[in-house]
Amino acid sequence: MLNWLLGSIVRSIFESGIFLMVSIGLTLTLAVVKLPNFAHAEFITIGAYTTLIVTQFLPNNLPFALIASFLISGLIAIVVHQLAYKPLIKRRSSLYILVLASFAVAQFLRYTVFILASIGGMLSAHPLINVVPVLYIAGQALTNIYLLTLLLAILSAVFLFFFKFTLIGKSMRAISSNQALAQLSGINTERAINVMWILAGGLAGVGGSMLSPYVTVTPALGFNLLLEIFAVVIFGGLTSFIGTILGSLIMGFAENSLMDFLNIYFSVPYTYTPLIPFSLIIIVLLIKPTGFGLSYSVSRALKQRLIRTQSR
Amino acid sequence: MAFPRVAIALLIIGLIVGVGIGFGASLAFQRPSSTQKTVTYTIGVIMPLSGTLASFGTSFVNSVKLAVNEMNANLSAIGSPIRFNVVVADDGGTPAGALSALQSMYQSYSVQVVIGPLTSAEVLGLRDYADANHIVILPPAATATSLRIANDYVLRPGQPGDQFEGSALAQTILQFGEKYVVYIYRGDTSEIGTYNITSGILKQHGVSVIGIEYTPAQSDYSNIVASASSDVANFLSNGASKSQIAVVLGGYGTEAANMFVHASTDQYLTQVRWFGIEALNDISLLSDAQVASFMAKVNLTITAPEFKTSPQGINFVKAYTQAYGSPPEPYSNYAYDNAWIAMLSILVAGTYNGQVLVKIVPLVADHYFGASGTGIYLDQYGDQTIAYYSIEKLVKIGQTYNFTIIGEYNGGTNQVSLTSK
Repeated sequence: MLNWLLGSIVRSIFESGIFLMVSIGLTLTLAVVKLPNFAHAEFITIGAYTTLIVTQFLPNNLPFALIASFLISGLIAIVVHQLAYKPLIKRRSSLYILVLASFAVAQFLRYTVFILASIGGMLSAHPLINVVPVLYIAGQALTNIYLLTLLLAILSAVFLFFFKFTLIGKSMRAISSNQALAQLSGINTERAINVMWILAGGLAGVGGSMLSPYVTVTPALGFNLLLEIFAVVIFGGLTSFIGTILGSLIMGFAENSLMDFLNIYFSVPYTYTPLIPFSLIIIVLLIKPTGFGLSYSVSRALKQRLIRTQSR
Repeated sequence: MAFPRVAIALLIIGLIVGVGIGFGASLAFQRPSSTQKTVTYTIGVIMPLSGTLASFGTSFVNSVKLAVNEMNANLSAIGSPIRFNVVVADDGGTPAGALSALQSMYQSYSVQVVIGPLTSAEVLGLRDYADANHIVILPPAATATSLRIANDYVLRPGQPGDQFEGSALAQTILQFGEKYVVYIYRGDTSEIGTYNITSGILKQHGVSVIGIEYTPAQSDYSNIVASASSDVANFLSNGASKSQIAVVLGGYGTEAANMFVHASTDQYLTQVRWFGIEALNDISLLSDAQVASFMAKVNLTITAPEFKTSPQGINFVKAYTQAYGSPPEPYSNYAYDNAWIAMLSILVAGTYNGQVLVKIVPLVADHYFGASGTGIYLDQYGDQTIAYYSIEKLVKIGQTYNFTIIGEYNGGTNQVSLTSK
């Protein structure tokens, strides 16, 4: 009766892992420089294309492809910051201007990839990576890519969790809290922000790399994921890492296990799957505009304030 | 002294008259090519040059350009002042994109005839605008039955409609003895139409059909594949044999690639035969080792409009390969033929006016035999009625994967004949 559930959970976990990889960098960007970077999705595309190119020369060499994707996407993220966002932030441009700039950067990157892919005959291609089933759980194949994605997602989450306790991590938190004060305290804000961009772009690139064996790599690959990424981040409260992990899990399970449940028991067609991220955004914005990740810390802060008030 | 004056006057008058006659004669007898102004007619092309169908769109655009270059070379050789030029717009494969492309093309170039768009959904997106502005639309491969509309500006001398394909697909599945079918289909007007026709015929013959519709342009379809796998597993657990179960894919492009990758690691979907539509004969799918090996493993069998071998067809492929360095995508011949039909219609009409062209195109098409090699006869809806489909199975030959013909469907007799399975 519940045979479908185990297989469905496997798919949900894989998709959650991909969502986490591609969206955690956006959370970082929002937390540190407070920029809703709409060009973030393009780093996913760049990561996928890097994997595509690397595997043409080194078929099935996923470790090398992952490292190359991280580096190239991270490098392009820094270049974008230096050439587009940094000058605007220096001029104290409003958030609206920065959002518009990020749209422009996204378009620029997408069409640059489009032109290069067109010249290279790679407008629509597939990396040379074999997807191999390692074992089956209730008929659902647990593939090499599923397992590696899960491993990388856990490693990224653990790394970012402990990263905040490192010197550079503390610097980022200080910048996030008050950049001017952080600078006055002697923190090298420029270096911390550069590291942040490498991590944000690089992790998105790794996400694109892990996604590429299952999808056909096209210049619109990342763009097609943009709304889902924002849904995850909004669900997580925009700047909370725990919230983003929670948001990724909810999105992965909603698009798979929930959809399977609705299809099996209520005959809801799978064509409604794309409704889920948008419904989640609306529900979260209406019920918990601060998102679930942040609301936890907010409620904790409120509790502490209440305790302090009562003790006076 | 009077004589010389009269003589001089007569001489002057004679000179003036002579100059006048000479000038008139020079105008009357001058060579037309030396001063005739070149007349240029625009052929619009709207295709998806980005998105999941970009490889087809690019090949179709190239085919139109090839036809136009050939026509211009011939017109130039006979000293005609008429020339054709091509204006291309990318519609991204969406109905909104197609409408926007046509609006901009009409406003900028007053275009009266357009080759494209590619899919039926895109054609439906721009149909009303084309009708309102009298722009003749010649889509090479839009086959939805919902486009069978009389007296509109969409004429389809290219690929035969889905009513033929649905029948060919259903009869092929029946001839293979399948009793249980899981049919995955794209949620667009063309594939929903084909599903309805195919499943209707199959059900009439007592076949159990489960339909799974999917939304186009999603990043991943693992849940669709898992659902199909679960349905196949249920059929097997209820006592059906593998040879009685089939999966049909009414989808294409990157969506099909994603589903094939997921299905390639599935326990059940790798054990049954798969069928599909003509768009699965796609170079980008066949050049992907993992996808192509799965397609061959499950003996993917498709029904595809028959590309009858003809000197015109052979010349088209040769000229295309010479011009662009690689052979055309399947069905590009329809774009090439449509371009020729459009240009010949303009030459016959002697005017560049959509209201006139819409009346002339059927006449020209019915008397045109081009690269598709089957001849054309348009019905009251302006749609191709001559339908031959080849039944093709994917096989691996050496290191490459190719579709080989294992049978034929004749739209005239509505019969499938298989030569092998």
